[in-house]
Amino acid sequence: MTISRKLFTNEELILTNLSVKNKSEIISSLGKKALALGCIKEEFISNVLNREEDYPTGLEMALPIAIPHIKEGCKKSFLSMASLKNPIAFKAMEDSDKDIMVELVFMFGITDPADQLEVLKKLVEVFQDKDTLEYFKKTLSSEKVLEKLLMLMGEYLDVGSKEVLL
Amino acid sequence: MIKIVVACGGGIFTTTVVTDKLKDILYENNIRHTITPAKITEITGIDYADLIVVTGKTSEKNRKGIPIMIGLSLFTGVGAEEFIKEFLEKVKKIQEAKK
Repeated sequence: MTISRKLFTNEELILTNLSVKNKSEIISSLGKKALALGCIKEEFISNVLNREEDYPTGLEMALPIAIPHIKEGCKKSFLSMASLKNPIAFKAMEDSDKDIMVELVFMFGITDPADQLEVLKKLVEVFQDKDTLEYFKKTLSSEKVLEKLLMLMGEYLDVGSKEVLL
Repeated sequence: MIKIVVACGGGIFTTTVVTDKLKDILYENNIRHTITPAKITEITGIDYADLIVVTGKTSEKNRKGIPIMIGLSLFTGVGAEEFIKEFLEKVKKIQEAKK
C-alpha cells in the first residue's frame, strides 16, 4: 500500500471538547488546521460549507456524527476530528429537513475515492462502533484519541515524519 | 444481468461504500450485475437501469418508473438487514420479469 492511499492525520487535526456555536465554526476550525498543514487549499473550506448546504452529512451512526468531506480543494488526503462540548445541529444526510444534534465531527479530504475504498470502509466500521465513538467523545487528550485511531486503523493513517522522530 | 444505478448528492464517500456493499451482496447471491454511479439530480431521466439505489432522501421519481430504494442503511448499519432482504426480493422480481 502506498502512502497516497493513506489519510494524513496528527494531534493538531484532533480538536477535543470544542466549544462552538454552529457547524460553520467547526468546519472552519478544522479547516484552518488542515490548511496550516498543507492538506488543503483555502477554497476547500467554502467547498465543504457549500456542499453541506446542498447535501448534508449528519448521520445517526452509533452516536450522532457528521462527516463533512469533499474532493475539490484537497491537496493531500487527510482525516480530522472534533469532539464538541455541546451538541451542534447538522442536517441529516437521509433527510435534509431533519436536524441531527451532532457530538462528533469527522472532516476529511479524499483525493481519489476509488483508490481509497479500503480506508473508507474501515472508517465506516469505526463509525458503527459505539464504544469507540463514546471514547472519542469523552477523551480530552488529542494524543490519546490519536493513539486509539492508530490502534483501530493505523495501516490506513499517515501521521507524518514528526511522529516517528518523537 | 441486473443493471443498478447508485446515486448520491455529489458525495464520494457514501456512494463508494454503498456500491461496494451492494457488490458483495450481489456476488454472495450469484447475481450478475452492473453498477453505475450517477448524481441524485439525474435519477428522473435515467432509462438504462433496472433499479436505482440512492443514499439520501429524494422526492424525485423516475420518469420510466424504475424503482428507487434508499440504501443509506448499508452505510450506517442501522436497518441494513432489512434493506438487504428487501433489495434481494426486488432484484429477484426483476430477474423473474426478464425471463
